[in-house]
Amino acid sequence: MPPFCHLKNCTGRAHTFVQASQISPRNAYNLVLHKHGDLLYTGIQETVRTRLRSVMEDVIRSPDDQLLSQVCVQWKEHQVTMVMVRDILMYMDRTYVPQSKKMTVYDLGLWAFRETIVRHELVRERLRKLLLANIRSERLGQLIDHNSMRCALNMLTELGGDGSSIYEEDFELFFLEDTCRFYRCESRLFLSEHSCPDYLRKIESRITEEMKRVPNYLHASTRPKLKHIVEHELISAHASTLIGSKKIGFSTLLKESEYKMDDLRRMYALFLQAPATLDMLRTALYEHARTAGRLLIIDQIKEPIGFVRSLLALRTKYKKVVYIAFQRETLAQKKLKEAFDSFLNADIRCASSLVAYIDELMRTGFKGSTESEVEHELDKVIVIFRYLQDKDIFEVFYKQYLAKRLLNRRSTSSEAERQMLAKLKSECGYQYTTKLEGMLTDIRFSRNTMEKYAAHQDRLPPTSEVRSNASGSESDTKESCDMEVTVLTSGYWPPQSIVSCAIPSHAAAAAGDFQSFYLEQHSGRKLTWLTGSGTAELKASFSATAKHELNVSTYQMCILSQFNKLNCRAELSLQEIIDVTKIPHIELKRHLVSLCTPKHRILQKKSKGKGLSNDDSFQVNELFLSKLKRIRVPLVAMREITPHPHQTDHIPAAVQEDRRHLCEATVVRIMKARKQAKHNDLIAEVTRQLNQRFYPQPQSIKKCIESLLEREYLERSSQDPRMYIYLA
Amino acid sequence: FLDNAEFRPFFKFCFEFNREGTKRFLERDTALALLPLCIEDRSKHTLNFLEFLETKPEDFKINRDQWCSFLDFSLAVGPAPEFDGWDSEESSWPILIDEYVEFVQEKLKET
Repeated sequence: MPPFCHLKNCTGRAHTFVQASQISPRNAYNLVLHKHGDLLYTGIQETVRTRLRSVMEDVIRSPDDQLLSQVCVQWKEHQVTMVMVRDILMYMDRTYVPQSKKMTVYDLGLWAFRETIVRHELVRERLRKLLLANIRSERLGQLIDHNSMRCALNMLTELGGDGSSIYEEDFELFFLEDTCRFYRCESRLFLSEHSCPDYLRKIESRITEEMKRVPNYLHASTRPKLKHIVEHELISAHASTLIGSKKIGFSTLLKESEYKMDDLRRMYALFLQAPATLDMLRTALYEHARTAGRLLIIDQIKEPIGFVRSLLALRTKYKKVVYIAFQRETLAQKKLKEAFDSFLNADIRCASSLVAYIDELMRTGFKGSTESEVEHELDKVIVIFRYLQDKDIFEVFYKQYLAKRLLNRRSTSSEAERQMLAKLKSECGYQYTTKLEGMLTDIRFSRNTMEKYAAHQDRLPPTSEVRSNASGSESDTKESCDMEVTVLTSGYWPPQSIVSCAIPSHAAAAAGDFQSFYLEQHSGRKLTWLTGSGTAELKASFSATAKHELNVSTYQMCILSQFNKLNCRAELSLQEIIDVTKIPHIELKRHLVSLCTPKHRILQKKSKGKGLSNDDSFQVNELFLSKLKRIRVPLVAMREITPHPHQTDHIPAAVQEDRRHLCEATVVRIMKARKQAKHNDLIAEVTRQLNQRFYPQPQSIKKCIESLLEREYLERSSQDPRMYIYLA
Repeated sequence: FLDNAEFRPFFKFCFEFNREGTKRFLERDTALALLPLCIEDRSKHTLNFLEFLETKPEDFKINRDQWCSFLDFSLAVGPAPEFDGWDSEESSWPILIDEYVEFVQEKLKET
């Protein structure tokens, strides 16, 4: 029936009732005035009860499918009736009722309705069961009548009061239990038959559905309780399965994060509603990233360039997950950083790989790049650099590679080199990069010096400059050659061996000229020639027609120029070469062998095979052939050579030494300032100060302290052996 | 004959007196002979510590800090196997003492 009709009928019936009970406002007023309030009250009480009793007869006889609507109808009618009655008896409500501490008329009606009908044993449970059955049907996809649901539940709410909540006791409690059971069952079943992403989609829709139920017909107070149960049964109870499941659980989703970002996002959003589970999710992220990193190291560390590229890709991948799926959450970002921190610092080769990667960029990678491209690449490098704990190890390797690049002129762009140093400086402070910058400055100054030297030489009277000649001409006294000199400040560069050899006279003359020029400009300095480095260009005539330019090492120049003094066919023994050139034995072998390889057989050696024998001898290879005019003679790799710095996986001795000094200096500095300090405080402060550069193991700090104790920089306090005192 | 507070300087003096000239240490064998004489029965660690010292090479030297710390350690830390009062995490004792404790603990594990 249309609601309006309903109400009219209700009102009509209410009217009839009131009239039948013969109450009128005037009567009521008079009764109360003459102190007959209790008469009136009891009278109305009885009347209401009687009416309701007959209503009850109807209600309990209703079959199940009509019970709900019947109750609703009766309830509406009752409400209307009671309002009318209340209006009529308003005077009584305001005077008699408070005086005699009785329930107001309306409340009286409520109470009566409740006891007579709603709590009737043939109504109470049936009604409840019907309500729950409806909800269950709706959950299973059927449509139900929201109006009657809302009406009934409103009724229960209204019928409460004076401490008891009918809504809660007669309905909500059971509803929540039911909900719990329903979802426990459904979630278990669904999860066992479906994949994790499908499950997530399902519970997402279930949660939305449940929340809608509240404005639809449930009382608002149910909302938080319902939410809690739903979250618990659907999310929390299955959180660990969802994370660890092989059926496309969280781990699998992470692996394929490129394609599964939506699922990951959904998962995070759902877990966000049950915050306790979020921690599990973050930990899983951490574990996953860390394992992936470890595997990457095992897989690819032998190829540093590839390793760093893969590392950058790995980081991008996880960053995306954190940004998109985890909504940029700070805690997730932190976990990711921790994961990278942990695996990158477990293996020293990561630091040296990064250096090798930068080396590759500087040598070839930056060819043709714009300034912003260079900037972009270097920023990525710095991102990885930040994770490294042992920044001093990085510095040592970087210095070695930089030195090689600078001395061999392999750097594509000095601007890029400078940019890199600038970034390192802003990360670690200026002290970190002073030496490295010094190296760059040395190169620049050397160029300036060469310019000045060239100008100086132009002003001198011309000397006959003859290039050195491999097949023996005698004109080599007082002749010079062109020389380009790079002057290195010894403190900045990696240690170079200073054993010098005997260089041919024209080279010596050129060197001498430069040296006097330089020392004139910078008196008080000392120059040492590093013959272990450097290259020479020799014009070689093997025969009348075969003339080539050879690009060789300094040592090779020394070796080859020995043959100048002899006839074409003359032989030199290994021992003779050693004696005259004074090149250190191991280096000599290497440079000599390089001149006898099949590809570059400039010299013919007597012994067969790859190596040299101690009584070997050599002569110029007259039959030397090559298509190229200008030939660069490469140096052979030696087996005994120290492993490529990249391949060692323990801390270089220089770094350990450096750390010890730094540690001791820091301890002394702290103790000098504090005069005395407890052991733990001292360790903590030293760690704090050194942390920027490397992580000092507490045991190492202890060793430094003991060394200082022995050298009487410090002593232990006699009152407390844990306290150290600074000795001035 | 001396209470512990007065004994400390005496114990230190034993070290000073027996070192050679300006050297800041005692040879291992000297320490092995000297320690039981000086410390008498004030330490419950003496026997164990001597055993530990014997595992060190012949050219091993003990410095003043280690020597004096042995006395302080004996007064502060209970005997094996509990080593009451010794904290492995935050030990400020000389590393030699830490090694000694580990030595005894290892030894007890094996028996």
